[in-house]
Amino acid sequence: MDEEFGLFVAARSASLCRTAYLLTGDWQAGEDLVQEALARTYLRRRRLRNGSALEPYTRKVLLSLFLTSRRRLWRNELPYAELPSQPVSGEMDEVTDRAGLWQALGELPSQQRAVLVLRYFEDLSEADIATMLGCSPGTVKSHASRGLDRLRKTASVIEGWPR
Amino acid sequence: MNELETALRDMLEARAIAAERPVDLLGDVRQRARRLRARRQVLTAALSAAAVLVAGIVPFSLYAPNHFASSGPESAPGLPATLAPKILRPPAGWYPVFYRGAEISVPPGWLIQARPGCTGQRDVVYVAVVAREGCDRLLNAIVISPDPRAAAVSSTSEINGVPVNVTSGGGFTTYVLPSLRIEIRASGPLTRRVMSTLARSALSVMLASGPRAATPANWRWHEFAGIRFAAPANWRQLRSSALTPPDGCGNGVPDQAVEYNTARELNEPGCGASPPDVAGARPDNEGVLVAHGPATPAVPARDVSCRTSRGIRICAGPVRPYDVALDLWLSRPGAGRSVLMEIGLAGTGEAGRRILDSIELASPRGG
Repeated sequence: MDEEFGLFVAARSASLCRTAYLLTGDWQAGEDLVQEALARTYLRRRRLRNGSALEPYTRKVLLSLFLTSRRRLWRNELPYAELPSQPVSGEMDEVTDRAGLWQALGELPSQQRAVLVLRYFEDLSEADIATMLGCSPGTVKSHASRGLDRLRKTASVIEGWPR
Repeated sequence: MNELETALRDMLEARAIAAERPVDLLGDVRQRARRLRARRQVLTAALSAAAVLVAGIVPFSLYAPNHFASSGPESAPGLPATLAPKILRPPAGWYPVFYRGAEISVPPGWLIQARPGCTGQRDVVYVAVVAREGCDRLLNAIVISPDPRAAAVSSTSEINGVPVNVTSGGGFTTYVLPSLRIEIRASGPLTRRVMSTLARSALSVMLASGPRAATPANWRWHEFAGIRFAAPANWRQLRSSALTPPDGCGNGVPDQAVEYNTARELNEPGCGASPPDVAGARPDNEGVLVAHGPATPAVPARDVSCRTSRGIRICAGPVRPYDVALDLWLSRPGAGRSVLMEIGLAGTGEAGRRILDSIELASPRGG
């Protein structure tokens, strides 16, 4: 494997996995998405202008894979013979999700979820998100607005969030 | 940034930090890349073989509507069940793209390509050709091909009355339409929305075999050049004396109208600067143009499919995926020049089918 690509994977995998985790809601599924996106980028690396184009390209592939495979990911959930006695991440839920935002985010349509993660975690502009999603900035704005609206409604039911 | 947005940002950051685990993906990526490359090599070989096959078949299958079947006895007032028109309307502003019996609708501006080639970062519908491997990544790509290959089916369903077998792999979701002998491969974020617009094409409704569709009692009868046919009563009647050749760059048929044309010369608009074929670039009219005059083109020598109905020989001309009208040449026994009838391919095809099935010889006094 090219040295440059190896360095890119080593340097940026963690960041990509964080984004993928927030998109999928599951670390393992996110890591799987990142692996697939990196593998596809690797096969196309010679067509990219230079090393700096690796990350934008990988992120775009990652996003596309997430949007097209969301249903498949849900189908691939492993059934438990018995329900776990404790919530898997109960402590974290308690601290970080008092308003029920994480749960509400997971229930959003994939486009809206992607837009919110890119906007509020990656700090991307609407124009940049539009480029990544292959749609207009107006569409991004609409997804963000609808997503926030749904979060506000859901969260307000759980926590009495001001509307 | 309001309170909710701040809370969302904080929550996402906290979640990402809390969930983080040591990551070492290089080995796994290497393995995946090998597998992907092997799969692509197999796919490329298969696509190359298919491309050779398609290149041989398409020139004939695309231009010869060989399913122009003869009509049987007249049916009840409704269309036969097998010709049931489309059920769902596509989203507003989307445009239909058809190939043979199948039609999908796509947002305006999508490229429609009938030959292989790369489009860069454009949404594209490849009609009757194979998308070339090695192109830059496409946003949304739909590949409509004839003669589906047999493949393991993961699910069977029906979209707007069209039976569909669905498989996935190689980055594409493949929809095989056994009844229409067509395969559609789709990739990109809009795959599901585009495929939800799948329907029988207007062309297939117009040309399908089956009983003759009855003429509604409230339709208006037209007589022109010895031919008689019916059209919806609310369609206007126009006359014109300029004619664009059927394969030219004109606007084709009028919308919601019947146009009688008696052109003495062909109007040849310049096609050199015409825009690329994109969804929405061509008029989507439901109407009829009948032409009979010195400039009316004769029946093409090849790529036509003919039948005789009610004493009139009707020959259907070649139809390309982005054509706006079905061209029919109507020949009366003993008459020298044929009548050219163009029927718009917009809508469900139901009106076109009824018009086509209503064609008969005019009474001796008419025309």
